[in-house]
Amino acid sequence: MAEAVAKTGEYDIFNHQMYMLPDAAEAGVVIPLDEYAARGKPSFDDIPKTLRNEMYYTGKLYSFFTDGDQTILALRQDLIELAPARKAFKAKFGWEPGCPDTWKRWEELASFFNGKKGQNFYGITLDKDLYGAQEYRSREFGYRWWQGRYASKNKLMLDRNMKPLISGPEGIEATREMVALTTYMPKDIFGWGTPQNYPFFAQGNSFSIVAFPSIVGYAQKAQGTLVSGKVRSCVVPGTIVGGKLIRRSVQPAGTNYMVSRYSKHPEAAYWFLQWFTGPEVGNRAIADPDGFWDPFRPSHLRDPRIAAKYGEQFLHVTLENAKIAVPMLPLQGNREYLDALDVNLQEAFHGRITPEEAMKRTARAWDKTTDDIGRTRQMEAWRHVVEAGSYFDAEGY
Amino acid sequence: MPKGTERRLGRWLERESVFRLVPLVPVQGLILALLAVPFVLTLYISLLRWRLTRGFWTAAPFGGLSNFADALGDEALLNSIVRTFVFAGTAVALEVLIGFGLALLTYRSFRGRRVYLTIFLVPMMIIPVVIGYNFSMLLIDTGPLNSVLGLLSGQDIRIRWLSEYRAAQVAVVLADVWQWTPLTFLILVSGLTGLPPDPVRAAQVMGATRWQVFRYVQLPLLKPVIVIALVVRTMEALKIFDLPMLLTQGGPGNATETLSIFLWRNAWVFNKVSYAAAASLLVLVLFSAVIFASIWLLRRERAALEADGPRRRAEWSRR
Repeated sequence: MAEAVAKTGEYDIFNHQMYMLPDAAEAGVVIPLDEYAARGKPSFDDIPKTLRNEMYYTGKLYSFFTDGDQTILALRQDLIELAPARKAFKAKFGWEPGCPDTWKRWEELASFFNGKKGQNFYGITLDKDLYGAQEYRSREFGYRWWQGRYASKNKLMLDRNMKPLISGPEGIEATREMVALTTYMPKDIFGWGTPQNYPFFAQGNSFSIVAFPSIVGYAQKAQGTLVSGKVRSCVVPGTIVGGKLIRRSVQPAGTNYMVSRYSKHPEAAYWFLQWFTGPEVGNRAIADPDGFWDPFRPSHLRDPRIAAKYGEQFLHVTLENAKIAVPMLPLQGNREYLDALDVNLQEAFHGRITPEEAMKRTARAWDKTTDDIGRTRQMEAWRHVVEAGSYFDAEGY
Repeated sequence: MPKGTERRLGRWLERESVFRLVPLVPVQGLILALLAVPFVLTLYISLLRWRLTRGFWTAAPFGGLSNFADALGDEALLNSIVRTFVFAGTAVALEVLIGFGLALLTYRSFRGRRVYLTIFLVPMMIIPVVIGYNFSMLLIDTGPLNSVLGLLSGQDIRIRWLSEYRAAQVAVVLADVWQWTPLTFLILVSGLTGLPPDPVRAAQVMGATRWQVFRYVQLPLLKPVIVIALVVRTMEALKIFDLPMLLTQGGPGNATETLSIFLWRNAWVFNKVSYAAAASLLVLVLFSAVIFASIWLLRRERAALEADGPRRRAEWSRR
């Protein structure tokens, strides 16, 4: 954003996470690319709708992306396959353990598949504590995961007047679920980012994790991994709303590219991005053994290099997750909105306030931010988001 | 230039009262350009309603004192100020105490003293990013610090240093103490080494114990140096940003969100530049009060020492 003020023209392209687009567009530091795209005809057809929407702001194309970072659930298949454990689990919960349909069922799995060091867990002696679940809970991370859960309640975060809906029953429930699941997580989870969460799972310390899709490849190939060949990828769980199962993953980061308004060669920058992120080069990057970009186009399934790197089971699952991905509140000032959510969720995770209070405080902060930025402008941007179907057919508008 | 004017200008410049001020003009001009211009700009921006997402600041609407009013009513800002002062107070007190202890152990000449001095000074020279990373590794749940504490206590210690509210605050203080005790040590060891030997010898001749020498001779003489260590470190500690950012990103919740992190978030993450400018000006007023109090304390100590010297010399000569 410094370039919005400095206007140096030193940069042709900005590379940031997906959620940065609204602020960059409003600051006027990036340009709409529709005119170039009309001539270039980039290949967007097989990008899932909600991910494609993240390249647009107020109906205009501003960015390209190359990284399907939508969340995934990974489970320890070896533990699920323990016959006595399966039998006991079914007897207790009434369903065969496996990829859970709902958040509730994930919690049931987490409550069952855990134990203390030295304990005999259905025929195997645990050589270390086994935790039931992992999910990001630290500052700067926990709120991202919350948005996927909340979206699965089929509710928008704001109504048409930008009045926050998150303090309603759906927001409270999503928060409660996250607080409850924390019981089965390592106590240190509140301070963990990726460098801590990934090795912890790969070293066999926990049964399940909802993380970036790269967790599966990491668990498979990281140096010192103890769970190689033992991990199963799952579509993220959901919520049953009105008798219908609704699953939503969230795009918590992603990598996007925008063209600077002050670039001396904006058209060349555009053509570079179209080439760089298109199926030809983009797929090569995703298939690169040392790369960290994740698949998101259905055509990735047909690319033998990508299939060889990720394996078909993972690929099918992550592409399913791409189809149900929702963005992180794609509005101007989203870092401010989401920071309020982040801080209050942290307070709730630590038991310092109730989920109700956390959501009430967040809603108050959101209202203030909206007024500060300009309600009319935000209402207009939000209308574009909702009408484009970025949250599918979520209610509340 | 006409000759008369040139002569008059020459005579004017030759006057001592004028000539002695001439060399100061460029320096004062530079200070004015470096300090006054940004300050006035900050003041002006604080009166606008400018976000980075609303184009250039010249086009931002005028908001009067609304940012100041918002800042004064912002619980998060007030909490970050309190947190910063508590952090700085605790960390600096520990740094001065430990630094003083180490200085007392090493200010006399002994074999290997240089090695100890070097070792004690190393943490100060390591860049904060490395310290932040190292501490994040040391402080993880099953990490070395908990293991050492477990060995010492004979229990399974699992302090969640980076994820519990109080523990995270303690962790940031610990990291800061580790990094900056060397500075207080350096100031105090220099002070102790530079103390005049005569008063100490005189006290020893008169039968004073080591404690009495320390309490009644060395400590009073060292007071101005201690005040300098306190002031220098406090001014730095109040600005802390790097360690809490690296260790906890200001979390869990807002537990380690210091004032600098708060201002950075508002200016560069939330793009609320005008608000951050207003908040930083309010903080400037507050910190100025602290700095003036510190300067007053320093001056008082110096005056007391200057007044005390002749009196003590007179006392010793009478004895």
